[in-house]
Amino acid sequence: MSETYPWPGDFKTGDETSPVAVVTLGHKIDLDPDKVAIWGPMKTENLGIEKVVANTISNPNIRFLIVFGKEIRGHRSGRSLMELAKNGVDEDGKIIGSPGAVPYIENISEEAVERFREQVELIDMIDVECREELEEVICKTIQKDPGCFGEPYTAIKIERIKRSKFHAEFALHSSLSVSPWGEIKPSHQEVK
Amino acid sequence: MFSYAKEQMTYDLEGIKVGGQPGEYPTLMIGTLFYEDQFHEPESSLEKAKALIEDQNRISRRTSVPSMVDILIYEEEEVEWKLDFALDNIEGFFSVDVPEAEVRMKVLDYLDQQDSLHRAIYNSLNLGMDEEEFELLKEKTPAGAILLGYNPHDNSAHGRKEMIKDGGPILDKGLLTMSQEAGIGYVFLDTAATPFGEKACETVRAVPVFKSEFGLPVGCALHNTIESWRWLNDYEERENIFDKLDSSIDTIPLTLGADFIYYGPIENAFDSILNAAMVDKMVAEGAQDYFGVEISKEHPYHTLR
Repeated sequence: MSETYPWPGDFKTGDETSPVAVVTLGHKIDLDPDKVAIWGPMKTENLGIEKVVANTISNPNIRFLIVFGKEIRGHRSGRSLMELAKNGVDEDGKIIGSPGAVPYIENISEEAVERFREQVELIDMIDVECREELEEVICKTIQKDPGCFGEPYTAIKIERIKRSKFHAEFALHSSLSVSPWGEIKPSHQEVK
Repeated sequence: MFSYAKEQMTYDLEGIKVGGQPGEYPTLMIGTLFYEDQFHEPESSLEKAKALIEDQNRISRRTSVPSMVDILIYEEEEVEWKLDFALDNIEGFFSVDVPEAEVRMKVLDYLDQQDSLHRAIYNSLNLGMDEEEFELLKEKTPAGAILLGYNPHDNSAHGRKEMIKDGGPILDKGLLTMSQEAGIGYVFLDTAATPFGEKACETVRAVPVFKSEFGLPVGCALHNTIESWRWLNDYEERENIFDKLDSSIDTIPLTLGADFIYYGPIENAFDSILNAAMVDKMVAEGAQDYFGVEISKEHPYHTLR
C-alpha cells in the first residue's frame, strides 16, 4: 500500500507520472520502473479486479492498462477485466460479458467503475508471454500519452455490513446460542 | 466441544459416512488432482496421478479417515480424458471441480453419456450458474453437489448463509432450493474460503452457522486462504513452511464440526489426513464425554489408540 495506491495488493510501483500500468495475470515479473507506474499479478475475477480498478483510478496519470500474460484458467480474470472496460457491470454488479466463474464487483462503487472505464484504455496482451514484446508495447504506448485525466479518485471500499459493538453476548455468531456445555441452538437474535 | 440442537443429516456414500454431529464420523478429506502446475504434460502424468490416488487411499485406510478424489477440469478439451481417467481409476464417488459454467455443462453431458452421473459430486453450484446450466442439471442430475456460499455482496457468515438459503440480493432463489429442484440427493455446503483481509474468519464462523441452520454436511477449502496470503507468498522461507500451513489450517474448521474438507493438491494427503485424524480424535473424545455421542466404529478414536 502507498499514498498513491491506497488498496493493498501484490504490486510494484515505478514512475507515478507514467501513463502505463500493467496487469501481469499469473506472472510475477520485474518491469522498468522508469517506464511503468504500477504493475503486478491479478488472479481473481472479482476481488483482484476491484483492487486493480481502485489503484488505477487513484493515479490519474495512468491512461493505459496493459493486460499481459497467460490467462488465469477457471477465473478468466484477464478477459473479465477486458469485458469490464468494454461493458461495465449490470445492476447486480456482474461484469457484463465476462466468461469468469464469479465475476462480481461488489466492494467498489459503480461510479468508480465508470471512472476506470473513462480514464484508461485497455491493451489486450492476454496469452502473450514474450517479455520483449511487452516491453516494446510499453515503449510505444508511452508515446501516446494523452496527459493527466484530472484529479485522483480514491475508491472507498463499500462496507455493507452494519457493525454492532461486541457485547460478549455471543461467542461464535449472533445467530447461535451456545450453552455452557457447548450445545449450539439458534438464538433468534441475529445481528447482521 | 460442540453439539448441535438441529438434527444433522448423515450420508452413506458407498460405505463412507459423512455428516452427523461433531465426533460421530471422521472427516471426509478430499484431495484435488490436476491443478495447473501439478502436471505439465497430461499424457505422461497419468501414472503419477494413479500413484497419488493410491497414496491417498493408503493413508485413509491406515487412519480410518475417509477420502475422495476431486478432479479439476479447466477447459472443454480436458473433459473427456480427465473423466475417462477418473472413471477407470477411482472406485465409487468422485468430485468434479469445474470453475467455468460452460465446461461444467460439458461435464454433465459426458458423465451422462458414460452413464456415470450417479458417481459424481458436482463442484459447484454457485452464483455463477445461469438458467441454461440449471435446466441441464434437472435433466442430467449428478448424485451430489457442493453448494458454494460465496456471496460477493456480503461475505459475512450471514451473507454466505443467505446465498444458500434464498440467494441473497443476487439470485432469485437459494442454492439449496435449486439443488432440491434439480433432484440432487447429496448436498454438501461449502462456506467458501476468502483471503485474509476479506473476512477469512467468516469462512470458519459459517461452519456452525450452516450446520445449525441447515443440518447438512458442511465444509470448506480453507487452504485457499493460505494460497492467497500475500505476505507468505513473498516470505523468503516460503518453501519451508507453505505446505505445512496449507494443510494445518484445515484443523480450524474441524474443531467446529466441519464434515468435509477440500484440502488442496492431493500430494498433501499425508499431512492433511493425519491432521484430520488428530483433530477427529480430539473432537470425538469431547463429544462422547459431554454429549454421549456414539462414535462410529471405523473412527481414528478407536483405530488409532
